[in-house]
Amino acid sequence: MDKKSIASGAAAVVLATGLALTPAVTDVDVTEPEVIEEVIIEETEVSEDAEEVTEESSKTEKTETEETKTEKPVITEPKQPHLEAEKPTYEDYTTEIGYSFTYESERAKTITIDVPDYLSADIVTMYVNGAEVNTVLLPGNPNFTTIPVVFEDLSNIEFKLYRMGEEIGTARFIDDILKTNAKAVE
Amino acid sequence: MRKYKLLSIILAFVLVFSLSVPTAHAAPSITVTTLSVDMSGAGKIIGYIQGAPKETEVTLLITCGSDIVHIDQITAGNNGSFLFKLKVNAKYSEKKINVNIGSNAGATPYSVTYTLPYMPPGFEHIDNNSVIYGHDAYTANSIYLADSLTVTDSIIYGGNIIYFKIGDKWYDLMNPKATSSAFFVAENATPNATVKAKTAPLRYYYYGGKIVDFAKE
Repeated sequence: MDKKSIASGAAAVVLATGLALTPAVTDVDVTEPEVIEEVIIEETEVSEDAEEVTEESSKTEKTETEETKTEKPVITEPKQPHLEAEKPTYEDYTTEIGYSFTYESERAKTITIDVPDYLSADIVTMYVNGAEVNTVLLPGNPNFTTIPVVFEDLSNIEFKLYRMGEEIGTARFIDDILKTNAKAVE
Repeated sequence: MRKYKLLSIILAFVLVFSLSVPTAHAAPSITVTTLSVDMSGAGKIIGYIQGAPKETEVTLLITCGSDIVHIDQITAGNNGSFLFKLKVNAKYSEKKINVNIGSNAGATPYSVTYTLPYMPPGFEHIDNNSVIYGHDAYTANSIYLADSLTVTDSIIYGGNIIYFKIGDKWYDLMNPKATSSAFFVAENATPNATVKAKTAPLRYYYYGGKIVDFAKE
């Protein structure tokens, strides 16, 4: 074999190895790697410490002149963007979900909800103040039975919608209209 | 020399294609996303069968040694999803169970061993979303809860004591503040020990359409 042919053969093998090591794409293996978003939360203790420092320094500096007092660094409250983010806006709750109530008796009441088919949800769980009431399988109009007092003040109730194990959105009562931020499959 | 060059290129392509050509149709497969049993013995198994045709039948068999703990069959829902709810007897507390899920969709059966939590009988065996009237407990969906005569009997027998369990906590419905769902937050909960003492001895658990005698549990 001359050098050229050896070189071209080697190049082909390198190409083959490179392509072979690339994961094969099948119609099943479409799971995207989970993206873990790192959230840095500023500790509020910092601001508390800061307040303590100001108090202490103000005590020790009582004898100081007005000029030195004005020179003291102004400690401002650190911005806490995470707290602002927690405020619910419900702007993305655009899809309405129909619902109706049925009184089973004075002691039990049922809510039936009508999850649109195009959301392709398969599991719905109802919560009151974050505590699970029940979980049901779709399709159909899922109903949840509990004691009537749970349905007094609907703002504490939410439904979580799931599609093949993934949470796709939440449904909440906004001005007595049940709305969800779940989106249809694209 | 050209012969070797050509041969090496052909072999390289054969290797590449043999590794990268996708499978035409993958067989349905069972995935379980939730498998949980709590202290009350209430459990749920949620999952889906990827590639399952509509109306696939899904079966569940749970065994503990030679005992059948639970057996059920349902029709899969949207996306081939399934949901099994179970109530495991307290006698299997802390034991290992074998969970087997199969289908008629041609999927390879799913099998896993699961260790049950501590599940004492009696008071702790009452599910969330249940109510106690006197010494009798009712699931919210119990047909007996809608029956005034049964509930009246519970109150005559056990007194006007009403507690509701949600989120593993008990709430006194006789509390004047218990007028809306806003009441059901941890700071308003009654300690479990208090509820247990006031409602003891428990008599019946009206569980859906069944009546369970706590004394025989």
